[in-house]
Amino acid sequence: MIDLSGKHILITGGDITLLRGIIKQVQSAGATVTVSNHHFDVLVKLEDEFGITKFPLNWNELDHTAPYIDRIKQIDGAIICPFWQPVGRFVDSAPLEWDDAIDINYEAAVYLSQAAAKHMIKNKVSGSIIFLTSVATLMPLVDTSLYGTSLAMLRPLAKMAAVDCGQYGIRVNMIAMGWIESNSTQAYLTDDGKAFIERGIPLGQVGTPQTVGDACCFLLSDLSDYMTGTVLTVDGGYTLTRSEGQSPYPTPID
Amino acid sequence: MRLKGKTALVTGAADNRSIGWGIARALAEEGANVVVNDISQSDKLTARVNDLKQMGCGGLAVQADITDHEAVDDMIEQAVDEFGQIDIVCSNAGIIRWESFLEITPENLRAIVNVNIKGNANVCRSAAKQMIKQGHGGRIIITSSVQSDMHFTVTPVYGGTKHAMHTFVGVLALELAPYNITVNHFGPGWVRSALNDIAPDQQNDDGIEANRQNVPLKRDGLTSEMGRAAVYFASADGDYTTGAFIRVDGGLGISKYSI
Repeated sequence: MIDLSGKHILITGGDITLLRGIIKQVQSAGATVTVSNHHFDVLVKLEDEFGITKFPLNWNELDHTAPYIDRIKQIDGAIICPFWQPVGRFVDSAPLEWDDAIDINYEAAVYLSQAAAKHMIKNKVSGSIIFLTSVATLMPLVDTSLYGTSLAMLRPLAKMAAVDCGQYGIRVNMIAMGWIESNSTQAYLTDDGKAFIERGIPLGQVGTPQTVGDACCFLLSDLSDYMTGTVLTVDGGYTLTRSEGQSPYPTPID
Repeated sequence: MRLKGKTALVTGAADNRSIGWGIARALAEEGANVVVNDISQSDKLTARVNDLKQMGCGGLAVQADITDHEAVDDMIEQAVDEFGQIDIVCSNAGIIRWESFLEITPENLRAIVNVNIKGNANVCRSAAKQMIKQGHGGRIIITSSVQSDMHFTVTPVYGGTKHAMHTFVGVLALELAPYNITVNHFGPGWVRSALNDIAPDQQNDDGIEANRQNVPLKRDGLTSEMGRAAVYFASADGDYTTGAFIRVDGGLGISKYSI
């Protein structure tokens, strides 16, 4: 069993259903949790359900996050989840959507991870930082130019952070998520939709937020002591096959 | 003269030592009309158009900031007004800053991302829309970098914008294939252009020589060699190539870089 007792983990992210699965597994392993989000209602719900510590994010001040993160007493691990997964054809994308995708998925992740790393260095903690990204960064998928590109930008950053932070005993890794049941994917997971998607997954099933949580626990624990700068693919084998239709999405986007 | 009758647009092509001009000149050598763009340096842009005309090709200078999507739309319109159509778009303009992960500042991060991701997206989007409207295919070529896959601690943000081109180019290639528009990118290594002139480790002969020694082919790349890669993608040679990445870096990307 993975034992994270005594550790305090900071989790950031936009999809409450994904956050729930991660919090559940991290707490089951014995850790305590702070959640950061710019939607206060999400934080209140999670506090009620799991007893997490709330850390409201001021979206307009993310670029000087470090002084705020400093107020958190203890950070042994940080899980940085994307906040937005838009879907659509590239030629239909608007410049404002590119602004948003980069602000929300890339910049937020850069400043939060940088602040978490500095916190760990200052407190002499050999911590673990995890970026949650998508299989869309591993293989090109139609309709994913916005979130695929914005998340792909994080890979060299995570790898170079791993190089720079290694001397402090801090590890930086990524998890590439495949199809996971969550608010972001709910619209596509109708009976027909799910069947369409699962035909292309060797392990035959869409994943769950708890599965992602388990992978996070592994990367937060001593079991992954010698791993840094890697990408754990949690997709049931999805990236090994090609989807039947042109789009990986089972229902038409309009 | 494999590109006779074709019109190309190249961003970031004002300086005659730039990769952009290397691309423009290589396309012109194959007979293409070339629209040269840069954010500034209008006198140099004018000089480039004269160079093109001396080569017997059509040339047009358009000064525009690619981070302004309306200016980009306007630039495509000007190109079409002048030459009737646009067949090849080389999204080449890009910038670099040097800050390691713990030192990243919002100002530098935003500067790089605005040009390399958003500006590039503006150019590719306007190009794709025009090519779809024209209905007879097209070529989109992005100047990426050896840093798409070879990362340096001093350029995590720049490297991110180049690594993301695998995803960006791949998705566009899939989405635009039904319109017979190919989308590819190539990765220069060390090239003696203004962008690399200000690299922190290129500030003296020892630094420049050390970088040359790290390249398996032991020299800098020439902008004409970058141009030939673009010609491959732009010409009939590249008819069946899409979503691809070619390093044009003297082997730098596969070497174990000494730090």
